[in-house]
Amino acid sequence: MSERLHRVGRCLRRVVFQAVPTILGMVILNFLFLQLVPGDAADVLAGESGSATAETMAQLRGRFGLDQSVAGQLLAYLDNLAHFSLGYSPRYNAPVLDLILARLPGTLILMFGALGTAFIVGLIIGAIMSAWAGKWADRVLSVVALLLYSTPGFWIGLMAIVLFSVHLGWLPAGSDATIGAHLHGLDFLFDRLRHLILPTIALASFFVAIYARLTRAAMLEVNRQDFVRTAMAKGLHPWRVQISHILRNALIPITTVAGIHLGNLLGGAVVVETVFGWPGMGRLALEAVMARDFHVLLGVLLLASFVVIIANALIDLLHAWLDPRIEVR
Amino acid sequence: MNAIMEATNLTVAFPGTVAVQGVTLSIQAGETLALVGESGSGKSATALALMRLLPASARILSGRVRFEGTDLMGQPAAALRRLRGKRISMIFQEPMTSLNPVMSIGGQIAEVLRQHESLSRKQARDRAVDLLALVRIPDPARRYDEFPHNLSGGMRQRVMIAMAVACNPRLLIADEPTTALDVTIQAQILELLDGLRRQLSMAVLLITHDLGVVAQWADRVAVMYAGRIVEQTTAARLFQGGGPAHPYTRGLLVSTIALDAGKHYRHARLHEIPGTIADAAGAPGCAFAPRCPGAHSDCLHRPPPLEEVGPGHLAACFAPLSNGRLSSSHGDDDALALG
Amino acid sequence: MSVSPPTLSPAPSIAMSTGEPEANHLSRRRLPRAILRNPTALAGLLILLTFVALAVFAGVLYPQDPLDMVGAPLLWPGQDPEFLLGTDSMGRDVAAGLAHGARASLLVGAISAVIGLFIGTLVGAIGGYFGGVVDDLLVRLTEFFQTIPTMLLAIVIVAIAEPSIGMISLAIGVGSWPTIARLTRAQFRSLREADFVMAARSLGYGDARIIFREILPNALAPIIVTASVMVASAVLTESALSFLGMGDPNVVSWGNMIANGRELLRTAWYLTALPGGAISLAVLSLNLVGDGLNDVLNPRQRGE
Repeated sequence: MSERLHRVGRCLRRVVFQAVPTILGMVILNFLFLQLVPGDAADVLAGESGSATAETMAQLRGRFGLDQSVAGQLLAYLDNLAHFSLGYSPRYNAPVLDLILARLPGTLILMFGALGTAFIVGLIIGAIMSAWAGKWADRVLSVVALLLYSTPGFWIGLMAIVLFSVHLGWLPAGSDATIGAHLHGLDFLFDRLRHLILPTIALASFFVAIYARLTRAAMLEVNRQDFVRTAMAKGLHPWRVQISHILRNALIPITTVAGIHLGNLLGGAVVVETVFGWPGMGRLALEAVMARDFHVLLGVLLLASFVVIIANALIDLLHAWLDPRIEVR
Repeated sequence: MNAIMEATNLTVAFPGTVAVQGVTLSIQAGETLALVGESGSGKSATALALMRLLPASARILSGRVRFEGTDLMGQPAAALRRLRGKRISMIFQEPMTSLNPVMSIGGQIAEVLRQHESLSRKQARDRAVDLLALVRIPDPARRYDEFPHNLSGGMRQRVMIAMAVACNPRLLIADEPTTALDVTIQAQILELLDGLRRQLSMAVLLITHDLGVVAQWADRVAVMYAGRIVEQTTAARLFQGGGPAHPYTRGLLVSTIALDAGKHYRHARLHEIPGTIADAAGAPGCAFAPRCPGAHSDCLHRPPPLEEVGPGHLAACFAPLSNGRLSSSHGDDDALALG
Repeated sequence: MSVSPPTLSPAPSIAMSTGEPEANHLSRRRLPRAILRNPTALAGLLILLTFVALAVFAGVLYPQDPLDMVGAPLLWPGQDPEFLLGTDSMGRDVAAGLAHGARASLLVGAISAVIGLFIGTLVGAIGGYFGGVVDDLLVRLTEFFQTIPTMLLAIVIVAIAEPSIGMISLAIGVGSWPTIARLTRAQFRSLREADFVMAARSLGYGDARIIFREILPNALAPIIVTASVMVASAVLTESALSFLGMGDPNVVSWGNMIANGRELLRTAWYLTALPGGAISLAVLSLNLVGDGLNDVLNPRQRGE
C-alpha cells in the first residue's frame, strides 16, 4: 500500500509540473480571443450607459488599461487573474468569476453524474460484449453502441422528454429542482435526482458507447494474455477471472481514453444544459453569447479548461493507482 | 506403482490441425516424468488437455484422462475448478507474462489459497509469505507487496512455483519452466522444483525440449513427435542403459550433446535432425519417416504402434534401434550421420 | 466531439525497394474491392452515398427555397401525400428541409475534417519525424488543444466571428486536430527508423520529401480510418452548434430544424424526431464506413 501511495505522490508532482504550462497557454489564448472581440470593454460599458463622449471613453479606457500596448494589457490581464479576477460583467452587473462560480456546481454535478453513469454502464456493456464476443449478445449490443455513438445526445434528451415527461409523465422535463416546492432532507435529494435523470441520460449516451466499445476491445486484448491462463489454472471461476484479472488490467487503457474525452463531455454539457434548462456554465456561456458579453464567455472557456485539467489530473492519479508499472515507463 | 494421472488415447484438434494424436501417458505418484519434444510437437497441448485448460478453439476429439481415479472428461466445470490449483497445478514458460502485472505477487499467491481453502485475509497473507520463503525468495514479508515487474525472471518463476505448490498439489505440470531464463538460473529453478517434489511428495510432469535437463532431473521420459508419443522409458535406461529405441530420440540425443560414448559418432559437435517437424495430421505413415535414415516402405503406409521393446521401454517404430544403434538391416552407422 | 478508435497499430508491413515504399497492405486497386466485400463498410457506404446524392440534388428535387412556406402548417407525416414528411409550424416542407440540410451538415463535416486532417497531420508528422525539442513543444501544443472543450472553443470562435459555413468548419476543425496529430506522430515515430526511410536518406532526399513522399503514404491507413470518424463527429458538433442557434442563419440545417421543432415538442414531436433521425443515420453511415475501413486496413485489430 505504501508503495502505491509513493507512486501516486510522484505522479502528483508530475501532474502539477505539466499543468502549469497548459494553464499559462490557456490564459494567453483567452487573452488573444479578448483582443479579437469586436469592440472593447469601454464600448460595452459606454453602450450600456447610453451616453458616451470621447472624453469619458478615454477615461474608461485609461481605467481599464485599454490604452496600453498589447503586452501591457496582457500583463494587466495576468495581474487580474492572479487576483482571481476575470473581469466585470456590465450585463449582469457582477464580477465574471462570481457568475461562473455560481453556475459551476450545476455543471460539475451533471458532468460527473454523466461520466460515472457512462463509465459504469459502458463497462458492463463492454464486459458482456467481450465475454460473448461474436455471439448474438455481442452483435446486438454492438449495434446499440454504434447507434448511441452516432446519435446527438441533445436529441436523445429531447426524445426522452417526449417519452418520459410528455407521454408517461414520469420525470420532469427541465430545470434542476421543482420550483417553489421548498423541499428538505431526503425529499429535496430525491427531487434533485429526479431532475438529474434525463439530462444525465442525454449527456451519457454518447460516452456509454465509447466506453462500451473500448472496454470490449481492451478486454479481448487482455484475454489473450498468459496470466489469464494462469488465473484459470488456479481454479478461479471464469467470472472472477473476468473481473479481478481481465477487467482490472483493461481499466488502464479505458481510464486513459476517459481522460481524453473529458473536454468533449464538458462540451456536451453545454448543449444538454440548454435542452433541460439546467443552470450550469454552458447555459451561462450561451446567454453571454446572446448578450455579446464576451468577458463572461471567455471566463467560461477558461474555467471549463481548468475543470478539464483538474479532472485529467485526477485521472492521472487514478492511473498511477491502477498501474504499478507507471513509474517504469 | 500407482498412477495418479493416466491419459488414454488422447486426441486434441485445433482449427486446421490435430495437435495431439492418441497420446497415452501415465504419471506415477511422486515421480518426475519428462515430456520431451521440439516446439510444435504437441507437448503443451497435451499438458493443457490434462488440465482441461485448452483454449476455446481447441477440441478434445477422443480419449480419457483419469486423475486420482476420477475421469476428468466427464466432470462438470465446477468440479474441475476444485482440482485446478489445488490437486493439479501448472507453471508456464514465461513468468513475466504469466503473472498478472497489476496484482502484487503476494496477492496472487493468496488468491489461490483463498480460492481453495477457507482462510481469512490475514491467514492467507501469512501462508503466502511462508510460501515465498519456501521458494527461497529473500525477505518474503517485504516482497509480498511487490509487483512482477520489480522482480528478476528467476524470482518471478519462483513466485509462479510458490503459487503452484500453495495448496500442496499431487501433480505439478511444469511447461518449459526454464526456457525463458538465464542458463545460470535454470539449474536453480529445477533444483528448487525437485526439492519441493520430494518435500511435498508430489509428481512433476516436466515439459522440456532439453534432454540435458531430462538426464539430470527426470525419472522417466516420454518423447513426443508430431502429436504422438514415439518413445517412453526410464531416464536411467535412456541415458545409461540401452539407449534410445526410436531414431528420433537418438537424433534428439545427438543434437543435444555429443555423448560421453562419443565413439559412436565421428564428430563431437552438435548435430541437427534434417527437415522440420511434420504435421501430425499429414501423412498416413510414421510422421518421422521423411526425416528417418532407416525408413522403409512400411513406415510410409501406417503409423507404427507404441510397443514394448524392452522392460518398461516402449517405442513406436517398426525397426527400433538396439543399444542406440540401427539394427543391421538398416546399414551401418554412417547412414545416421545426421546433419 | 472528436473520437478515435481505441488503439491503432502502425502499419506493420513495410516493403523495402528502391527507396519508394510499396503502398501499405492494400494497393490502390485492391482497397475499393476489399471495402465492397466488407458488409459493414458497404452498408455505410450505401447510406452515405444516398445522403450525398440527396445533398447534391436537393436543388433539383426541391427547387424551392426550403425556408419558404409551401403548404398548410403542422401536417403530420403521411397526412398529405404532397408533403411526405409533413410540414412545420410555418408550413415549410420537412422533406425539403432535410434534403437541403444534408448539404450544410455534410459540407461542414467534410471541410472541418480536411482542416483537422491538415493541421493534425502536419503537426504530428513534424513532431514525430524530427523528435527532440520540436516534438516536445508540439506534443504540449496538442495536449493543450485537447484540453480545451472543442464545443466551447467552437462557440467562442463562431460568436466572435460571423457564423458562416466556412467559419463553423474552421471552428470545428481547429478543435479536432489533436486526435489526428497524436496518431500521425505515433506512426512517424515508428516509421522514421524503417529501412526505406534510411534508404531515402542515403539517397540524399530532403526531409520534406521523406515526410510527404516516403513516410506519409505508409502512415495513411489509420489516418484514413480516423478521418471518417472525424467527419462523423464534425457532423454531430455542427448539429449541436446549429441547435444552439450558432449556425449560419441563412442556411437550413438539421440542428436548426431540431431547435425550431423543439418549441412544439409536446404536440408535434415529429418535427424534432425527423431531423434528429437524419443526423443519426448520416453519422451512423460514416461510423460504419470507419469501422469497415478499420477491419480492412487493420485486420489484426478485429475482436476474435
